[in-house]
Amino acid sequence: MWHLYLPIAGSSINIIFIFTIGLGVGLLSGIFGVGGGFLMTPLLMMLGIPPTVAAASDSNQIVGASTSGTLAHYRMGNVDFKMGLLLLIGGFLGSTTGVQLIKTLRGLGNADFLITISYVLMLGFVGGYMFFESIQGLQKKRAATISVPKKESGYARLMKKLPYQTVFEKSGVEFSIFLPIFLGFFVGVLAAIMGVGGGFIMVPVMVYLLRMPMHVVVGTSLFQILFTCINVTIMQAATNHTVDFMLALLLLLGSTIGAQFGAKISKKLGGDQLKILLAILVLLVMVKMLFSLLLPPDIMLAYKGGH
Amino acid sequence: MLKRLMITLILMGVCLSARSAPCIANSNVSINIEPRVITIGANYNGAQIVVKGSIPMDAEVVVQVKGDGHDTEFLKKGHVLGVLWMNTGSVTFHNLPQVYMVYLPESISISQLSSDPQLRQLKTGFVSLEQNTSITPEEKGERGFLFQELFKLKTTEGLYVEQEKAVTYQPANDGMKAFTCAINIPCKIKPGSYTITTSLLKNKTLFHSEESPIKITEIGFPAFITGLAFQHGTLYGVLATLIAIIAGLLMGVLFKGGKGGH
Repeated sequence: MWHLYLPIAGSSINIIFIFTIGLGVGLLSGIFGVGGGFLMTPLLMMLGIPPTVAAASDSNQIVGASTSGTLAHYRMGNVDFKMGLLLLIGGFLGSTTGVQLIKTLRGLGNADFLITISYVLMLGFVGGYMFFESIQGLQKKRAATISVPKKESGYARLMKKLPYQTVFEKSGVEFSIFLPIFLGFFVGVLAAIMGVGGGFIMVPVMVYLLRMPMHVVVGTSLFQILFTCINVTIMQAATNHTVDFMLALLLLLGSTIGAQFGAKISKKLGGDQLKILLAILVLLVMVKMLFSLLLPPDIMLAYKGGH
Repeated sequence: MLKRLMITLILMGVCLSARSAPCIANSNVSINIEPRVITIGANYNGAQIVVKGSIPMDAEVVVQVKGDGHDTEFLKKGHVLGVLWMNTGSVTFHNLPQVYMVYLPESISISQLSSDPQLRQLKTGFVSLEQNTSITPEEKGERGFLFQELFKLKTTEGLYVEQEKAVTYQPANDGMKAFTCAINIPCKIKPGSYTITTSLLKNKTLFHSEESPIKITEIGFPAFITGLAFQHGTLYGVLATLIAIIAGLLMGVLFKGGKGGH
């Protein structure tokens, strides 16, 4: 009775179950400014949706969730459109380069192995660094030490020397327009090589390399994810026919509601608390990936490409 | 109206072409398959086909469902550096049926299909499929393992079935008995044409066989979505993103109203 047939996935699913998954992932998206594909795609695969359809339909639903989340964060004054646009330009150039790079890497052989290992290591490094840095941040606040003006780091001095300096009012930072373009490019290359949305890499980059306040990072990240996923959805629909709109619609009904609640929760949490929770999430994804590499799979064969 | 007319024409076409074609005939036998057309609507969640009929008292029935064969490529998982499990290559199974189901009566076991010289003539069951399917690249000593994993994958999806005690008998009159076999069609089966082969055996020897086509077809909204996605991919993608954006904005507006001018 509560089943719906998904024509592109070629499978039938429980409506309530899919709605609940959407709600949960939308909540995470609204809190942390990540797309949630890392969680949604494996969940859909567990329900028997082919991996390619799961990933493409998830992109479609992220369009809805990130529209809802961006709007909620915009109302709270948490979206830096100027920064977001520059990161998007860099991200677009980076993902195009990354797609070409991955072709070359695969030609060299054993690229999948290198990619997965570097992904696990990077998640571990980023998650671990964020976790300990935020713990230290919280401890310093508790100790209520008298703040001493920080000595300017080498990185900050270098950034000031770059041309075309501009002020990003929402983020309260000033540096060259080339910095977000370059960092966006870097994340774009990584996202294309690793086949992920990039939210996990982009958020730490904004926090640590662009020195943006955590709440503005979440809103701006969602704004950027929105455009990335519009591009992915249209490309996948046009070339691979893997977007299941019925599935995406059910998911986004849940995720758009979840994203609104997520944005409210995000507002209530402190910057360091948000960072710790995100760091835990990043580390959990790393552990999950590590387990999938170490535990022998149940079946030693998998469909290749668009099953 | 037009849609209804099209569905009626499809059903009529299938019914006309779906009359069972006996391969080895025996006039004493009647076999009936219901339904011969399965329609996939918006709330489709699999279906059941029932094969039943009347056969001589000393006969046995084996039912097989098979889909068209295609060359299918799979990724192989293997050990890298001795500890990590990853994709280590690919293998192609040639002319592999998308669906392969074999239903047996109580008197015939799965192992007998390959061990009994008379039953081997039927050329049915996973072992027979393995013997008649080629793979590339074929590395030494790997074939058996790859087919074992293939059958594991396909049975998990419900697309391959080998089931004992699936054909049941009830006594009838005049030296005849009635048989019934229920075939569960999982929702993962793709729309298309499939063949049900009903084989009748006496003393493990085939004396009657009938091939009956069945059709699985999408109707209504699923048919509309599939048509749009495959024939107008870009338009479909643009529409999908637009609807997602509208849903996101709508939810944003609704929530703003609820919390009172945040």
